Amino acid sequence: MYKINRLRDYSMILLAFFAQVFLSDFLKVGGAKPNFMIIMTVFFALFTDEWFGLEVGFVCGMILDIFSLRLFGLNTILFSFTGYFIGRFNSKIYRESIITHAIMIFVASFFILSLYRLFIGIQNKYLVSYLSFGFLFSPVVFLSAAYNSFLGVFVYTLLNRILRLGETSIL
Amino acid sequence: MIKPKIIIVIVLIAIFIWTMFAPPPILTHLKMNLANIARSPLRIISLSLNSLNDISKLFYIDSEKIELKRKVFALERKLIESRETSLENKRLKSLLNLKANVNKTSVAALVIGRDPNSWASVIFIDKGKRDGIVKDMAVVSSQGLVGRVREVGKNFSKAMLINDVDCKVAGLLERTREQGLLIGTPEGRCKLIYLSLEADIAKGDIVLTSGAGNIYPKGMLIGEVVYVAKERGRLYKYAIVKPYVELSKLEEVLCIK
Repeated sequence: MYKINRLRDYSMILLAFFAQVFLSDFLKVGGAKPNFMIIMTVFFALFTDEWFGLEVGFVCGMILDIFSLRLFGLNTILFSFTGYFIGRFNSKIYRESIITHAIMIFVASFFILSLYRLFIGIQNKYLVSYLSFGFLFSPVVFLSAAYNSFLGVFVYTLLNRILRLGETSIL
Repeated sequence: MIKPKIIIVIVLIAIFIWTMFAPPPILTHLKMNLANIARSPLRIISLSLNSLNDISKLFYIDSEKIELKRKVFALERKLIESRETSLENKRLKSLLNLKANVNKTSVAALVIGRDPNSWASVIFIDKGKRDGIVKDMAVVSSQGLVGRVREVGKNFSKAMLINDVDCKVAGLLERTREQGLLIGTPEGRCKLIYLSLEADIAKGDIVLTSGAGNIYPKGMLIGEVVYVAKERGRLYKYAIVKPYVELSKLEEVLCIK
């Protein structure tokens, strides 16, 4: 069982933030940027409970909002919801599995990125006339979600070794 | 009895609602003060990464080749600029009462980070109000237009790049003087829209700032056309523009007003 240690956990989130700021543009593939904050939110929500998931989601989203030029609070809401819901239902899924982890990151990324894209579309005078199913679920959203889940597997393996979470399975 | 955790959630929601509807100046001030805390660590990491990058270049890249490429690029740029100047002169001569006023203030800044959000192209610079940065200053590099300053803190600012979805630049084609609006796409590309259907546009055409809107100086290099097509369901053409500036590799910029 994962034991919450806020100093250690938030230090890791801070590291993820710096990685996001300095590496995301260099790791960009086909328009898809990795999002380490989503990976961290999913990780902590899976291994703790809904309240810590909400807390981590809130902090990650708030950090992103502070550095964003867009509406303040949007990331905070999306990340908090994601953290809460993954934490709420983590006991019903086999969370020790790398595949479960990858799937959860994919779903969370898809949820956050497509809703964020919807907001961009609504708020932008030019893009609003192009709002469609194809715009919201464009290939780049799928690619970003897949890319996050791919990176999430490595992050999960790394964190698992550092935090000694115990036995993991690839199934 | 209401659980304390429920109260926490209610308080958080109340904060969200307040932040969403709070007047923009208050919110920007709050955001920039919070972001300012990260300025020093971002600056240190950014400088260290730049130094590492420079060291690696010494080992792996022929410096002479880089220098020559830079010179060729600078000469090409000068050629385009002189062509632009000569065309401009012709037009200005016909306008007898026009008075040139190019009294610009400029501030050099270091790029210390990038917006961590997906679908955003924003850079953080290490200069702010104290250094003379004001909102809507144009941001340029030696290769051309980069973007504009959107939020200013004491010694930290955020600049929106030309490939951000919310960035709009009035552009014109150097060869044909056709005007359009350069916007960013969520995928980080630049698109010149509102070009008339009869417009003569070809791959390789150079795009400059038109000066309309009074934010970006006129005649600034933006990029070159790589693709032209008619916008589906619209009565205009668009062009995909490749910026001259490598927006993902910016290290230093100049803010001008």
